[in-house]
Amino acid sequence: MNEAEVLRAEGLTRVLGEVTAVAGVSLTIAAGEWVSLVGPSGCGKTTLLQMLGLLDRPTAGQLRLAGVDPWKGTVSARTLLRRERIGFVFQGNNLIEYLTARENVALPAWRLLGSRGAALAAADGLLDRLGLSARADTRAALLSMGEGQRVASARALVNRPQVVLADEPTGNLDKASGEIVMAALGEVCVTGSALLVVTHDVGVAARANRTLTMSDGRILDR
Amino acid sequence: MTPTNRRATSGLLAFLAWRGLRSSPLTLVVLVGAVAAGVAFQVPNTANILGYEAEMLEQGVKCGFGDVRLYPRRSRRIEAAKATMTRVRATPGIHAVDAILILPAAIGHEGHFQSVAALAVDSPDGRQPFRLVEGRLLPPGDREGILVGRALARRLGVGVGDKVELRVVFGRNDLDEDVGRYRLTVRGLFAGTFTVCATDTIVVDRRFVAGELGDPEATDMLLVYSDDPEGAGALAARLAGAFSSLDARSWTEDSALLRSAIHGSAAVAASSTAMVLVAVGLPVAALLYIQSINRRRQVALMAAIGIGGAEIFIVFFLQALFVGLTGIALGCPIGYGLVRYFRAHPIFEMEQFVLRPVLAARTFVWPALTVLAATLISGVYPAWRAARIDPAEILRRGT
Repeated sequence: MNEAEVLRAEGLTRVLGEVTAVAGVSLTIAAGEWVSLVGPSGCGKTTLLQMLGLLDRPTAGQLRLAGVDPWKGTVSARTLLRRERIGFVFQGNNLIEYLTARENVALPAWRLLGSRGAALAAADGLLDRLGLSARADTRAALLSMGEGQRVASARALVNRPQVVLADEPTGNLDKASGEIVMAALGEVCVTGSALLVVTHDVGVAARANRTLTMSDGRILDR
Repeated sequence: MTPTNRRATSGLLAFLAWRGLRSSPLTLVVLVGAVAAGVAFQVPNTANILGYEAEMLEQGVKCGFGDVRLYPRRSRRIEAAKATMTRVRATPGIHAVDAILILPAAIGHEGHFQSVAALAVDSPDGRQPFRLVEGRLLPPGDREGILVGRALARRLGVGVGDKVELRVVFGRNDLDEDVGRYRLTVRGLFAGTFTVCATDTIVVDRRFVAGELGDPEATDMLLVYSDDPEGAGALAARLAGAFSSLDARSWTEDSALLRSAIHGSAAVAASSTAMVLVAVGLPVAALLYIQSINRRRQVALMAAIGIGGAEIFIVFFLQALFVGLTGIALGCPIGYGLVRYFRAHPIFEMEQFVLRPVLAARTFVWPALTVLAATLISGVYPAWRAARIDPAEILRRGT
């Protein structure tokens, strides 16, 4: 594995029941690289993202995150990898709704750093950058879709992960909110982290260093 | 993980548990209410059952025939009773010993007689096998006084100071009609339900009756008081070893009625506890389970951001702990109020048998611990289910 590579997948396959959701996908993502993943609905993008994020075990194939095969380690080791090295932005309802925006963002940092104060300070900084300071103490359930997605982006970034996996981060947002979210996510590449964005938005895909197209569980081109 | 980190993580998990609970106030109220109701019910229930047992032991053992009863093993009466009694009294752990002679008798007033058991008592240590409720005790060697059970006195229409006729059947060998006839003054009235029954027993001085019998040492049984009903079996075994001519029986062996009543009370307590456990455990388990199902996506999100399965288990288990502790904190004062009420208004009162709830630490500790245990056990399965949620599956499906 190249030192610059953050993530390498070889022949990743995921069979769900009788359906092969992902069929032998191989890809690498380098540090500081922004990769967009596009494709029709149901082609396996989310399943691939979940395997790359160590949430779903591949039926076949190999994965290396920062040089480590996470599926050879324990559940705790994978949890630690997710906590330390991966940031997630999921589709849709993405926040713990009974916590405030600030608490949602601080949560991964609180767990990682072991300090509530430091985590809240980090959360405040990120919320400020994303223009959400005024909504920091609002319960997640009361945030608009756009605000929620921005808060989710902040949460993905709070632990300065090596790779950020974003599934349709602008899917339900207006253009302005989408711009703010993508600008914040895009910044991680400047600091050497990798960004993999699943998107239907041509504008978002165009900003990537590389765009991968997926169809029927396979990556068609690079 | 450093201790500081561990503390911080514990704080995080407690925070998530509390906020999760607080997010659904109605569920929280019902959960806490179920636990509080369980404790509030079980505290006075325990107090009443303890009070019932205490009263039974008081009447049957402490103010009855004692912790251990010594009978002659082979002879009709205890041989060398005076010396034996002295030796028994010297045994460590024994507070008092009474010598008892029991004879069939009849008591009469204004021509109406009723058959009774005449309990001739010698209490050198001042401990009586009955509870005096009116008048005074018989002075040692009293030849003219008698104590009458209050229920019996009511039936005969006599009170303290009245004269009664007493016929005692001595039943000595070769005498078909060996009856002592006495006119005695009622010195006092006593109460008793177990062992000494106030409805058909009278008490006279043993030395007086034994003298009439012609055998100053005549003693049918020795009553041994150690004030340790639970240790009665061990004490009986010790005494049986030390006095081969005596049959030593603990109160549990000797008094079937009392033993059965205590066992019955324990069974009622156990079934009541079981019912409370079910009544608390089922709704708590159901509500926590529903919460864990409703929160699947939140749990999946927690897992995705690096909160481990064991930690998710702890979050949900802590919710059960919070509910249990809060319910206990609310239920105990309510239970205390009910105990105070039942102490002022006993639920059972007959003659001198009054069921007064016991207000002690164990009245609260045992119900609180059992209800807490039920709550925690109820929280295990929902917590386990939450910890085993497959985040990929939940996030893929969106719910």
